[in-house]
Parts: sequence; C-alpha cells; structure tokens
Amino acid sequence: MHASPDPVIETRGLTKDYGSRRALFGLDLRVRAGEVFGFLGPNGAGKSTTIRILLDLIRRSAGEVLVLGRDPRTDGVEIRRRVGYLPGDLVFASRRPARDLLAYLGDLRGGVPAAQVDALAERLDLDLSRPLRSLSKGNRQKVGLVQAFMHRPELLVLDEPTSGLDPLLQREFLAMVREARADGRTVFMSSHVLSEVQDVADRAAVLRGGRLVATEDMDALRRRAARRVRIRFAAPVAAAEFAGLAGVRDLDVDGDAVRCVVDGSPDALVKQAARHTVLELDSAEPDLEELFFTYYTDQEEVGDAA
Amino acid sequence: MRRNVFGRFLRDHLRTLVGWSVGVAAVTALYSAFWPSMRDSGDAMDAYLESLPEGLMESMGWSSLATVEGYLGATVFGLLTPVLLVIAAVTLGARAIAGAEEAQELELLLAHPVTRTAVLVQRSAAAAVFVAVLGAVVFGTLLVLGPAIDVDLPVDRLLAACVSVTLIALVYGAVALAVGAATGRRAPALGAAAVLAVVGYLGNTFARQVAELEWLRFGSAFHYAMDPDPLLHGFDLGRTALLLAVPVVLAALGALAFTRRDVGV
Repeated sequence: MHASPDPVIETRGLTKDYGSRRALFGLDLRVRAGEVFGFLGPNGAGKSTTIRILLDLIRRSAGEVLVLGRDPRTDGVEIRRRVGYLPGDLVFASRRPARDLLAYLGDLRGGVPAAQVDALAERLDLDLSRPLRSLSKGNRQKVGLVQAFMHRPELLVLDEPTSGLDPLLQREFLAMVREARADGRTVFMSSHVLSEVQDVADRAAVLRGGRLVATEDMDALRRRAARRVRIRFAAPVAAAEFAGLAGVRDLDVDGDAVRCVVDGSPDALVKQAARHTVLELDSAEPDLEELFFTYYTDQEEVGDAA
Repeated sequence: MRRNVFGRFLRDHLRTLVGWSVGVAAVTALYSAFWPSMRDSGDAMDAYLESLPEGLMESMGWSSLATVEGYLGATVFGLLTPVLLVIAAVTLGARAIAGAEEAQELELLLAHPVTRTAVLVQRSAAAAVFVAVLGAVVFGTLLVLGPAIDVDLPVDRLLAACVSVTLIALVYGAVALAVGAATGRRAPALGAAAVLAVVGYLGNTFARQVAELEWLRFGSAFHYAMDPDPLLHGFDLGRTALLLAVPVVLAALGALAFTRRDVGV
C-alpha cells in the first residue's frame, strides 16, 4: 500500500430520499486525483442523482460528500468554479447563437479566452453561429462538452457524455478525456454502456438500484464482462465439444450454430471453434443491467451464504 | 463588459419586451385618443351615467368621464394598463425560475459558480426593469401624445399614476416569481399570482360599494396603488413604499425557499 493523494471526490454513506422513495443507499465512492473514473449503471440507477449532489443541485439526505476537499452544501460556488459539468439532458430555448451562450457562461466563470472556445468547437465540428434552439441532440451535446471543457477545470463531471455523438466524435471526445488526464486533471463520467468508458477509464464503479455494487480497475471489470457470442459453422457441430469450455456458459448448440455467453477471455472458445470452418462470428456486449445483475447477484449470494 | 445573469435575462427577453412595449403603447394611445370625442359628448355621457345605478359607477371607479382624470382613471389606468402589465409581470416572474427549471435550462446555469440567491436576485431585478420599461412606455406615450389629444395632465401626477400601475404589476409578478422559486413549477406560480390579482382587482372594486367586503381591499395591490387616485392626488409616499416593499419581501421569501430545495427533480 502506498499513500495516495487526497481523493478528488469522496462520499461516505451518501443517501438520498425523494419523499419516501430512497434513490441512493449509502454510497461510498473515492475518485483519485488524475484518474478517469467511469460511473456505470443502467438508466435510473441513481447516477445523475449522485452527480447532481456533487454540484449541490440537489441535497443529500444523509452521509458525507467532499468534492476537491470541500462540502458542496457549504462551498458549492467554490467547487463549481473548479469543475466542468455536462448535464445529462441539455435543452436550449434561446434563439441566440451558441457562441453567445458560451461567452456568457465563460463570463460567469470570470472569462474564458475566445480562442479556447473556438478551438474546442472546431475540434468537435460545432458551428457556433447557429441558433441554440435549432440544434440537434448531437450538436447540443457538443455545446455542452465545449462549456464543460473550455475553462480547463481540475475536475470534469460528465453525465452520459457520449450520448448523441456519432462514432467519429466519440473518438474525438475520448481523445479530449485522455488529454485532460495527461494534464493531471480528473474526469468523472457516467454511462449506461460499458463499452463507452472501457477504453478510457482507469477505474469504474457500478451502480444498480441506488447501491454501489462494485468499484474496480477497468481491467478487472473488462475481464468480468460477459459477451454474447454466436458462431455459425460450415457443418453441424457436437454440443459436447463446447460444453465445459473455460468461461463459456448458457450454451445452445443447434446444428451448425453455437450460441453462448463468454465471461472474460474468449480464448478457449476461439481455439475450439478453430477446429472447424467458421462462417460467421458475432459478439455482442450484453447491457450493463444484465451483465452485472448476473455476476454481482451471484457474488452476493455466495457472500451471504458464507 | 462582462455578461451577467441580470443582463443575459434581459437580453433573452428583449424581443418579448419590444413586443409588449408596442402593445402597451398602442393600447394607451388608442384609448387616450378617444378622450376628445368623449369630452365633446361629455355632458350627454354624464347624463347617461347618472341614469345608471349609483353603485355601478362607484364600483367601476368612474368618478366622472367628463374630466380627463376621470376618463383616463377609468380606462387606461383603471383597467387596460394594469391588466397588460400584470400579465407581462406574472408570466415573466413565473418564467424566471420555475419556467427555466421546467425547460431544464436552470441546471446548467446553477452548475456555474453562482449562488441561487444571486440568480434569483438578478433575474428579479431584470424582470423589474422589464416591467418598469412598460410603465415608462405608458408614461412616454401619454407625454408625447398628450398635447395632440388634449390630454393635459401635470407631469408629476401622470408619473405617479404610471408608477402605481408598474408597482401593481411588480407585486403580482413577485408573487409568481416567489411561488415559482419555492416550487420549481410554473403552474402554481401562475395560478397563485392570477388568483391574487383577480381577487385583488375585484375585491377592490366590490369593496367600494359593499361595506362588508371592505376587508378585501387590504390584500389588494390595486387598492394601495389607486386609492387615493394618483391622477388627482399625485404620489402617496407611504403607499408607494409599501408597494415597493412587498415585492422585495416576496423575493426574499422566494430566495429562502429556493436555496433550501433540490433543483430539477
């Protein structure tokens, strides 16, 4: 164990109730300085609720929260000065151009050089002269990303940053996140799709039903990630050949087609399949809900039984 | 110059303000332009009015339609501009916090280094400026048009009447803003302000003729602003101060509730 610097985000027993409905159940979260942290979970798991508490948009019911060493309840302004935030759902009603809004938001932060805004807009291929209300979902998301990054904050809090972006722009965005990390800044980003964060995140936490079910290195999580695999061979194969392979479960062999779920590395399956002529091979990542529901409920049951 | 919440809110509503200004100027000009013909038929009009039940004239606040103060007091200042300015102020007040929140615009602003109180204060001030401009439009229209249509009022009394109308609108606008800030929802903000304004207007009207309803006037901004008639008596310092204090107190209460709740849920 080595001494780690003070965490950039730290919550202990973070709980949030909306009336009688509990949205967060005692979250313990630690995000280290300089890391890219993925905050994963299906829609409705409580990701946005947690993020909004960090910015003091909503107030916790119990527990402790420190962002950049300060409590959002008492030092919200100071925290927000040093944080760039992308809301999960951006709507603009204004007829004014995007450039106008970004200048205004920059001024609220004490001024942001126009060159920085222009450079980001160019990178994301965003036309700043278009009226805000006419922007598509993807373009609104770009405006949101520009305002989150433009003042080069120490901490970026991004709620579903890639939603609405086409694949090319997703890659550009991931490059921006890597650059932020290279500058020593911290990125906390939520997603309901593992693949969106797995290439860039150092660590990730998984939230389900308002409870934190895991916080792990991305590598460990990736190993855990189950994939749904479908292979079609040139000729029928025997089910016995594929049963009992390492990491393979939910096997279904039907003539020349094999369907199964692979946990972790597909190495054993690939080597076995290579004995035959493979016509097609599809591999799909199951959604997070399914993924972690299977894995972590199993773990809990094992834990409870022990 | 740095852009701030105050300036941005006004800028965002510039088109709306221009639209309202044109409308308020047109209505003011149109109705005051009837005055010369009204005066010429004044005797006949007064005779007609005398034939009406006594209570009706009193309740409508028509002291006399044969004087310019009586005519403007009954039309432009008695009904038309208060209604227009109250509607403008209430819709803007409801929009300032609750409307922006329902449109999901508020979250982005509040994620910046500003306090909620600052946002509410600056937007309230911007809304007050908006309403004051409309009051100034009434004043300016009558000032410029006056000589041409024989509306010959002392400037100070004309100003007092325009300020009174503006203050009525500010009171109900502040109700909408405060309720919206406390609830985050536009419907209750609009509802509360509309109910209070209608009850305030009708209450003030009925109380003039039904002694048992006299109490209704105490909750009515119309009563404090229009009685005694500023067109006849000029400024009433005490009542003007009261009408200025009410929106300030309402905004403060709204801010208190706004800073204590969750935003955008």
